[in-house]
Amino acid sequence: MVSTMPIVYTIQGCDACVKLLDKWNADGVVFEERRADLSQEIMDEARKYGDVVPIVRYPDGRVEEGFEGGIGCFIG
Amino acid sequence: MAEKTTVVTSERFDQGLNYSDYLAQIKVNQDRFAMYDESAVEAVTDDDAGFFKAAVEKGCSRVVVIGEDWCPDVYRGMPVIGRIAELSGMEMKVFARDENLDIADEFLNRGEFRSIPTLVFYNADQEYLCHWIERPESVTEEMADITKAVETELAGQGEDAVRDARRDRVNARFPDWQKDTVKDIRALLSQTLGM
Repeated sequence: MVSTMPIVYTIQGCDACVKLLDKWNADGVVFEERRADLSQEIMDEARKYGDVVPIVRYPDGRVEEGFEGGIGCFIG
Repeated sequence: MAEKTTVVTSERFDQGLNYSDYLAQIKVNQDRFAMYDESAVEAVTDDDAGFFKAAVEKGCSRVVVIGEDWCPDVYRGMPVIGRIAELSGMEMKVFARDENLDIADEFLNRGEFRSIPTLVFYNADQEYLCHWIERPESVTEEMADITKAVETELAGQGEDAVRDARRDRVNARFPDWQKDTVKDIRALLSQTLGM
């Protein structure tokens, strides 16, 4: 099933993840957060799309890693 | 003797997890910890074991390890210090960084980053001796070189191809980087303890 909202992979303690989510919440963006540090299944899924969280999958297929040049966390 | 104060009192030290207990409760990367536990056996030689036993005899009897299970530097590096502790008799306690930010904030990388793993060495009276952060500088340089080489060689082949090639080359170097980690920690303790 194709998601109609961005999916963002995060981990606890990642400053860039917090900044991204703060901005999205402030902007009213509707998104799904998936915590890669909480399960191997989500960690493996995140690694299919990138090495550095936050990793964002947009509904149109685009994938972005990191946030506004901030240092994300390497999970590769 | 260094005079750095620390929030890690003896009582706090005792609250850390033994390495085996830490491994039993991690949520991700159990397979990678297991893989690099195996390669750490080769990374720490008999000569290294002798050195670290002597370091313990000279007073470096405790080590705090700050880490998180999702981090590649941790699942590569923690098995190394785990093996060193096992062979030398050094008492090792693991603290999850994000549940122990007061400890992490005492040992920030370049005064800014909560880099992991961080190893903090103490004597039996819980007096700070020295600490080591993240990975050897040579490894950081090699990681950058690999990234640059892959990006050059695979220019135009797409981000997925670059990422997969980079991962393969970096991961292939992990056992050797564990050996570099042993040398780095050994050099630090040698300097600190005058060995």
